[in-house]
Amino acid sequence: MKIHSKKIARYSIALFVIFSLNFIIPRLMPGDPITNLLGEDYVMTEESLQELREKMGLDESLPIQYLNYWNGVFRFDFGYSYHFKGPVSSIILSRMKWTLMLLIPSILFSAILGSLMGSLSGQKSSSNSFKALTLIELAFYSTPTFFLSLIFLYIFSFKLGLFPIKGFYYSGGIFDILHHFFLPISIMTIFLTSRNYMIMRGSVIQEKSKLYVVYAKAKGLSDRQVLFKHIFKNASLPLLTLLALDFGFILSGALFIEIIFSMNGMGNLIYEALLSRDYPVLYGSFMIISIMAVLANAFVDFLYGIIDPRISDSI
Amino acid sequence: MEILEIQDLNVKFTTPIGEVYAVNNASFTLNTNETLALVGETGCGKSVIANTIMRLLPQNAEISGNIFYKGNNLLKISDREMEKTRQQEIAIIFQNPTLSLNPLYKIGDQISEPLFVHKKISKKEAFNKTTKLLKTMGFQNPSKSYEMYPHQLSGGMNQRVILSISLTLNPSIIIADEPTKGLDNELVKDIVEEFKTVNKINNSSLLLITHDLSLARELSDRIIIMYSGDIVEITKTESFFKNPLHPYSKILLNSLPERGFNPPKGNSPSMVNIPKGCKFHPRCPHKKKICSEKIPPIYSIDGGNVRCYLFQ
Repeated sequence: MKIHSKKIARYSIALFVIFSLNFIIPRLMPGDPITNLLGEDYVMTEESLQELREKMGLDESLPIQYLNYWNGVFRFDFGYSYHFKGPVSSIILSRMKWTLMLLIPSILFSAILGSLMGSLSGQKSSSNSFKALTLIELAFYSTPTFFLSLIFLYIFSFKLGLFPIKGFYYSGGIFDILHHFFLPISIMTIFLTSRNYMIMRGSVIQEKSKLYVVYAKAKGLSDRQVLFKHIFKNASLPLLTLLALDFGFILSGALFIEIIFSMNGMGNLIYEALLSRDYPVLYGSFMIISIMAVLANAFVDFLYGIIDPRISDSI
Repeated sequence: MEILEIQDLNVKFTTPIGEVYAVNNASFTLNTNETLALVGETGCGKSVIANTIMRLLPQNAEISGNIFYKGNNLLKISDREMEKTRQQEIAIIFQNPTLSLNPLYKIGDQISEPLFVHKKISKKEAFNKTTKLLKTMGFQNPSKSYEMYPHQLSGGMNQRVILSISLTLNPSIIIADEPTKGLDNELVKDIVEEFKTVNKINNSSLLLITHDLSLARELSDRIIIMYSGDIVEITKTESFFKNPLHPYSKILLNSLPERGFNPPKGNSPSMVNIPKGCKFHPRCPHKKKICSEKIPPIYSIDGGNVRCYLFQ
């Protein structure tokens, strides 16, 4: 597998632009950049502000500031949050693990479930039971996740008392974690599955009318073999793109679920930072999300090239 | 000896614009080691016959009649038995070789696929058999070609890949559905040679479906002429080109470049509003009153069969 220098250059440029924007935006905003970097709920005297300005290098010329900024980026230093009272990078890291624990299983389960059910349903698209399944999935797909979360909380936690109502802030034993994560992961899985199901079903319906599918059948393959040896691989390409987007949205996307289940994840962090106008945390989160999105896209690009030889040949 | 016998085959499609009678009362036989050409204009039902034999028609097709292959009625056997019959007994080649291949798999793997589906065979054996086939079909460097993908090969090369696939299990019948459609003259010549090679090494019967009379003349022993879902003439290829029986056959032959390039007058009838009686009567120079009232039966005359009242 060749690694294409063109592609690497493209992704590096994307990251460079994103990081530079992150430097420019707080300095372009009206007013003193120090307020933009401190957050608006933090008030201090003019003397300590000046002291801080010197400490943060804001009295230097812009090119020097820019170089210092890159120096910080490479040392994984995204500044200090006066609201959360800690370095931004360690705040984000400690919050990220909860979001990852919620989203990675959900994305994996929903990818498997959605693509399997979707492809079976796409192949037998005229069968009534699959039509009914499509209707159910459509209902889940069009229900907002926070609404689904509230219903699940009401039924399983409030009425049946099976699961805790609130999230947890300390890691307990493995059983405790599973107990707390069961509902949020289920809801996320149900939601993502319905979307993957729809995409996969449509993609299989489109693929199955192609001549190579008829020819595979003419070679003596059974319907199952035609589906899983031929159609599945070709039809899964659009889904793969979506999964990359999911990983990009990994750190912000579960916002509603995190709020409802009071989980200490990235979604909640961004929410709190927004409410208190804690810009350093917002910039830091923005950067992490961009890096994730770019990496996920690069990864899927690479996978695409492996799955579809036409793509790696055309670059 | 006959290997495939088709009796009173009718295929009807129910579509939103009405019922389409694609094939009506078709009966013919295919003999062992014979090449039989099924010739007609686009839309006359030739390909429908091919797909009916393979049981590859869509759900909205209504089929009646019998298709006997080695004594078994292909229209009655179970799906599982039909899967075993496909490719092992009867292989089909579609008109577009590049679209017939899955773009995401190496051509070698696509050639060896039937071996794994139908037989218990080791990877090494399958690889050897595949490269041998590729070599016979004219690939200079078979083990390198094995690794290629369909988009890296020309249409003509993919055609040879498809022919290799049809040969993997030495089927008794190969059905070729318009193998030369959209190809230029040079490539048609190549295909004629390739089919001759296939015939030499496989010794199977070939049902050649084409609108190309010169290809039929080059390859076939007998010829069937279809017009708008009806078989109008079945005869030996040699005598067909000397002395065609049906008025439509005569007009068709006159459309050949070497005979003056005279296209048939009028259009072939629409598949929904078919003329009553003999379907060719609106265009026929010899039409009689009875032609527009009743479909003529098939008459036998000097070894040929023709559906026309002129031979009553």
